[in-house]
Order: sequence, then C-alpha cells, then structure tokens
Amino acid sequence: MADKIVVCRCEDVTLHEIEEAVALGHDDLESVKRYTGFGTGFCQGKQCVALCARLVSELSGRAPSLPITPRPPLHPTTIGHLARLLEDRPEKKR
Amino acid sequence: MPARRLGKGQPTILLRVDGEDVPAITGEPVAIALYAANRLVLGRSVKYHRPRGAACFAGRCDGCLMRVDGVPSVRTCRALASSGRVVETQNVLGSAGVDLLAAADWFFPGGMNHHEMFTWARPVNRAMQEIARRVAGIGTLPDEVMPATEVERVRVDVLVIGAGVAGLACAVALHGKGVDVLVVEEEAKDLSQAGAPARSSCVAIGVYDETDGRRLVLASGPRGVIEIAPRTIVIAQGAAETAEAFEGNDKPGILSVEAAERLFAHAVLPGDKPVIAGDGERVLRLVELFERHGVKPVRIERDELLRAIGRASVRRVETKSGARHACDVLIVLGRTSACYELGGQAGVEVHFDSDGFSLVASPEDGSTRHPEVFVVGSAASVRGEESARAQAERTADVIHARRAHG
Amino acid sequence: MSALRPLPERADIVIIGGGIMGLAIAWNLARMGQERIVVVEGDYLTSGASGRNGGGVRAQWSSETNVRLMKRSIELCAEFATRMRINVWFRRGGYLFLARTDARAKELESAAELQRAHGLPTRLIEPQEAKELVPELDVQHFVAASWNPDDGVVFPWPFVWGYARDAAKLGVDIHTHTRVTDLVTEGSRVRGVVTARGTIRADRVICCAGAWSPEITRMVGVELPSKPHRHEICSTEPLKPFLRPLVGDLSDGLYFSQSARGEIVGGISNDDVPEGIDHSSSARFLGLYARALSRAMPILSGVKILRQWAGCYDLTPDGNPLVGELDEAPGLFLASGFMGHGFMIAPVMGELYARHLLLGEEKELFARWNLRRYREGKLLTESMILG
Repeated sequence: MADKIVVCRCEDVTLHEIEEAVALGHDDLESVKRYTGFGTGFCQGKQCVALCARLVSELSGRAPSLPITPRPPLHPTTIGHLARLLEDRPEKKR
Repeated sequence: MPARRLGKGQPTILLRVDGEDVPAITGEPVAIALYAANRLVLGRSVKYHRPRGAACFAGRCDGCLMRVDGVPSVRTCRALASSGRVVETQNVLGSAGVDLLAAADWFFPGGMNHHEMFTWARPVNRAMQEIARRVAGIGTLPDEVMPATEVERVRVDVLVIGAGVAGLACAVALHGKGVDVLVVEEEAKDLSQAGAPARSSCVAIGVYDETDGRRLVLASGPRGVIEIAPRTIVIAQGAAETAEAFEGNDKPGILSVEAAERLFAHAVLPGDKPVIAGDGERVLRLVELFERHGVKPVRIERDELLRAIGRASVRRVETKSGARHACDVLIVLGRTSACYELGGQAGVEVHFDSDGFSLVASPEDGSTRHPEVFVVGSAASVRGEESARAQAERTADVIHARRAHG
Repeated sequence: MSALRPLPERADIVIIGGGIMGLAIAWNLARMGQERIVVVEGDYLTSGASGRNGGGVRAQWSSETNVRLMKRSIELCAEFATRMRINVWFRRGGYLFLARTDARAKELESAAELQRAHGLPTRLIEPQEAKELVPELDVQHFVAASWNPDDGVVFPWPFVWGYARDAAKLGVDIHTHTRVTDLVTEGSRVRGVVTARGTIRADRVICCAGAWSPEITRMVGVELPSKPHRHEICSTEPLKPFLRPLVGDLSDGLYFSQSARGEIVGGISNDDVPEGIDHSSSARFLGLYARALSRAMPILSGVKILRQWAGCYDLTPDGNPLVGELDEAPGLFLASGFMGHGFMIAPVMGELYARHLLLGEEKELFARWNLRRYREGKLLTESMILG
C-alpha cells in the first residue's frame, strides 16, 4: 500500500487532500489553505507554502499567485513575553 | 550506531529525556544532542500520529517539538542543552516509538476529509467529535505560571534583520559611516566581533503599523520581547529549503541539506548509510564532508525520489526507475523559497518564480516599493556571496546618502 | 464555486456577499422554492468576517429579540453537520461571562432572568463555582459570572462551505471573485448589480456585504449609520483539551475559547481603532490581549501565540442590525449591521429573511430593524456586545 505524501507536516495535510480541495473548486491558495488547513500549524507555512503554491497551480492550471497572507507573530511567541508590551515606560536608548 | 559525534567535542552533561539520561554538550541545541544519541523519533504528528523528528534544525518545522522543563511544544532545535534539562515526548499514547493512536495513519490511508467524515447521523457525529476533541492538540498546559517578562524598548535609525553575509555587510558598512544601526539575528551566532551592534538568538516576529503612526518591529529574544522602533528596515533573512513531495517524505531521518550541514557544524555525522537527493555545489560539498569521514553517500536525482520506507525512521529509499537503496538518513535538497513573511508584512511585493517565493527588490541597491524597507541577499534573489555583499554595501550607501541629504 | 463560469444576465434575486449571511439567506430561499438566485462574492468564500471570527454561538443576550433568535440559531447549529453533511465542530461547552463589578453583575442577573423566561438555563454563579467549571481561572478580580451551559462554539469555515455547497445543489448560482462595482437603477428603484465581470438584472437585490455594506448603499446615494471597524483575534499553539466554555469579560471585551483543534482562540476590545476596512494586525492588540488573558488565566502566560489576524465588525450606533427593504431605494434589501455577531445570527436570519420575503412573516421585526428607525429616532439597545 502506498504511503502518504505529506505536504504540510505540521497539520498532516496530504497531497490527496490538496487534490480533493482543488477538485471541489477551491482553486486559489487561500481557499485551499482554509479547506485543508495547510500552513496553519506550528511553522505557519514556512515549510509547505511554496510546495502548496506549486501544487495548486499545477492542479488548477492557474499561475501561482501571492503566497498565503503572512500572519504574525512569525514565530511562536509566549504570551507572558507580550503581556507587558503596553506598559508605559520611558524609551530606553540602547 | 548510524549517527555519531565526530571527535571535536564530547558530551560532558546529561539531559533527562523521557526518564532516561542522554549525553549532551553544554550550549548545543537539544535536538542536536538527541540526534547524536540516535533518538530520531521525537514525537507524533497531530492528525495521523505519524512519527516526527527534526527535519530542518532551523526553527522552520514541527519535527523537534517537545516538552522542555515543563513548557509544552518547545522547538528543541532552538533550546540549548544544559545539565539536567527535562525533555519529554508529547502527543503519544504509549511511547514515541510505539504510539497506539498511530492506528489513525492506516485507518485513513490517503488522508481524511475531516469536513465530511461521520456526518450521517447525529449520535455518531457527536461521538466522533468527542473523540476528535480528546485526541486534538499537541502539548498540555505548562507546569507552572510564568511571570510576565519586561519588554525592552529600542529606538534605532536602521534595523537590519538577519546577520548572514548580506545583512552583516550592510550593517558593518552603515556602522562604519556612523549610521545608528542594529542587527537582529535568529541564530545563536557569536556576533561580538561583527563590527556593528547586534543581538543574536533574536527573531523578528512582525512589523506593525500602529494606529498611533509608529512602525514597530517586535523581536523575540532569550529574555523576552524587544520592541524596536526603526526608521528604516533592511531585510536580510535569506532563503530556505522547502518541503518536497514524495511518499513517506515526513519520516524522521529525512533531512534538508541545511539540516545535514548544521549537524556537521556541530560535529555530528548525520548517518553512515546516507542517500542524498539533489544536485549542485551544496550537495557536492556535503558529499565531501561525508567522504572525509569515510562514508560514501548514494546519490540520486531529486525528481527520481519515489518513496521513503521505514516504520519509525527512514530505512530504505525507492526511486522511480526501480532502484532501492538501504539507508539510515535521506538528505533531500529542497527547492528554496525566500523567507518572505516579514517583507510581505512590511509592504514589499512578493513574487512567485518556478520554485518558490521571493521579495521584489532592486538587485542593485535593495530598494523596494516601500521607501523605508530594503531587501538584500538571497531573500531578494541575489545569488552568491560576492553579489550579496556588493548589493548590501550599495544599500548602505543609499541609506547613508539619504541621511546626508536630509 | 469557480470564478470562471459566465454570469447570467437576469436573476430573480441577487445576493451581494458570499459570507454566511448571504449564503444562509440564499439557501433558505432556495429550499422554499425560490428560483434564479445568484450570489456574487467579491473574493473567495470565507474571505470576509465569516472566515475571520471566533465561532462563538450563544443565547446569552440582553434583548428579548436576540435571546429568541440566537436560541433558534443554536438549534440550527446543532443539526447543521448531519443536515449539510459537513462538520462544523459545534460543541456546547457553555458561555461564562465574568462580572468585575456589582453593577455588571446586576446587569447580567437581569439578562439571565430574561433568558430564563425564554427557557434557557442561564444563572448567575459565584466566583467559586466559576472556578469549579474552569479551574485555571483567576477569579479574585470577579464578583460573579453568568453561566449558560447550552451556548457553544463552531468552526466557522465549514459552515460557509456547507451552506454554499447545499445552496448550489438547490440551484443557487454562486460566483466568487466577482466584485460589485455599481447598482443598476431605474429612478430610485434598484434593478440589478454591475460587477467587474458583467451586469445581472434583478428586481430584488439583497446586500449581505457585512462591513462593506456602506460602500454598496453609497452606490445609490444612501449613507448607512453603520461603520466598519477592525477587530483582531489570535490563536495559540494547539493544547490538549482542558477548557470547556467560552470565557468572556464584558468590561474589557476579552473572550477566549478552545477550538476543536486545541488552540486557544480569542480577542479583546481595542478602543484605538479608526473606522474603515482594515485587515492588518497590530502590536497593540497583542499587548492588550496578552495582558488581559494572562490576568484572567495566569497559566496561559507560558503558552505561545501562533498567529493573529483581523476581520471587520459592522458596527451600528445602537448595536442592532439593519434589515429589510430601503425606503430610499426600493428593490434593495439590507441584511447588515450585525456588529460582531453576524456569524451566530446568520442561521436564524437566513430562515427569517426567506420567510419574510416569500411569505411576509416577521413584519414587526423587519420594521423595527429597518434603517428608518434612525430617521425616526427610534433607536434600540443591546448591552452584551463582546470584543
């Protein structure tokens, strides 16, 4: 039995799932992202978005467009590191 | 044992990994120590519970997530080894090697359409959702409440993001001209001799146009978040290998070329039966590194890759032309794509070429459609160290000239 | 759903906006036998607020109408997955509203009384009982909480696709990537829509464009009192399930719940947002949310945020929607001004709208929620708006 081709490893999205999404009419990268969940996991697409863009454009016959909108924080950021962001304190010169 | 340490440094401390002692060198990434100890399977994936292991060693994948000192889902390629650190596998029912929930992997051979499964009757649907909820998630809550950390605020004229060849060249040139510059670098590089003010282990997490009119860059460092208010931003985050599609491509023991380079840089041999897929100078250099240690890699074309086989980690590679190669590590040169995220958020145009994305900037002087954002080096598709350095220096000239002319 | 099919020249009803509101109305109309319905969506499905919200569905409201309608919406949510054959991950984890002051507690108590009169099990509980429901909460800042175990959360995207797919099966013609650039008029009467891909003539046009609605009505010179307002939201790393209810705090607008995937998804009010369509993210939001969340549930301080994004609320001055036909432009109907709760009200609004248009039902509600109340000075109230 053939093993899976995993296109997005953070969310376990397979090539088959991408093909299915495009076949259902989700033919732009943002729609495929939402239908399959690729690029929404720990790495937020750093590993997979270029591959998914290539695949979606091959499958849909449309030229690859923009990547999915980058969503900050661009690296996982601890809530406790952000909790004092708005504290009013004098700016410190380096 | 396939992976091994190559003399230089030898472990002097112990990490506590799932209740066992694993030797490590102080200050090396935990994931490197685990790999050197031939612990390739570090966790399980979120839906199918497929084995997961470090694939990039560069903070760009999910492979090395573990619970470290009571904190869930820490990237162990970024956590540095120190004596007695407690490292635990997550998301397994059983152990990392034998996970009972891995049944999900063969139960849904092609993948699952989680949108449509079990929607034929309400009780079944409810039961499915209850099970799905129970198996969702990766980590569990932290052991202890973490006190909020102080936010450091920095004002700077020019912020250079990335201390590779292009970023450093630009920063050093700016600093030499008397421009107030700061470099932030994601890696734990020693930048004390860089010739310009720099912070390492400090990753930019976003550029924000605030409603009060300020443009802020937030960066996350070892002690917390730094809020930087720069006038000009130079993006020099480079390009990185991305995923390639072949059967079993997510197995532990499958590495990017960069990951293999990083293992060698930490004096760890990635394996003694390597298969390398891909061509070019980087691959040749990697082959040479293996050969220097008496290991002869099998080389195949990247497009020839059909499947990687192995229960927990890769044991064999099959090609489209029918060849089979036993191996303990498969190194794939992935197509590169620029680290476009920050540039895209900062207003730089993003472009797709045949392999991946790049940021649209002048190859001459790094200028972009945003007047206060420049992109230098491979993030802007400038290839080769010489060209990158030259472009970065011209970028510094342009920024300096603007300052001089008010 | 593809953008490539040609547009029809004529339709009976054109719906502007392929968000949950437009699709719910289209689906209900089609199910009641209405033919020749066309939905035009400017972008892809789920691109607007329907794809950008937190998925909360509650019947805890302070006005009689909202309580009645949302109760029905929750019933519809519960049957959606098996009816539409698509998982929306509806989970009744309850809604826990926290009160920091006695005044707020009193307000919640009177709302709870109203809700109980409608058969809901809502009750005011002591901080200690709230802590039993959610042990990780720091309850020392709270004097009471309002608790309805029947409220819940859904995953918004499949809800949109479910309506779209089933509406298409019933004959609704859905065109994505088709932006409305003008309205066809004869005198003051609206007779169709002009899009970048062609004109569709129709005697009834329903504007379900959410925060973009003022742009649509401006095409016929009607200025709506509603304003688009960016609302930000974020989600954390996926954690094993531990949090059952959605927790909300009306004093700072903080809310958070745990999604089917295990992420903590939530947002907070931000008073420093200029009006206008804006999908950018801010550092200020991260600071506001992180501060409030780590105060409400300190253990989350050590958890990581993976991504933040924004959508647009469609805010009306009195917190109530704008529905029904416009006096100023007959033929143009509104289904907008749903603040931040358009998603949860859409299942029931779809039903009521179709019954109103085809059978003339709900006349009183459609009159009360009509735009003309602003001209006549008959403004309404709703105090339980989050975020």
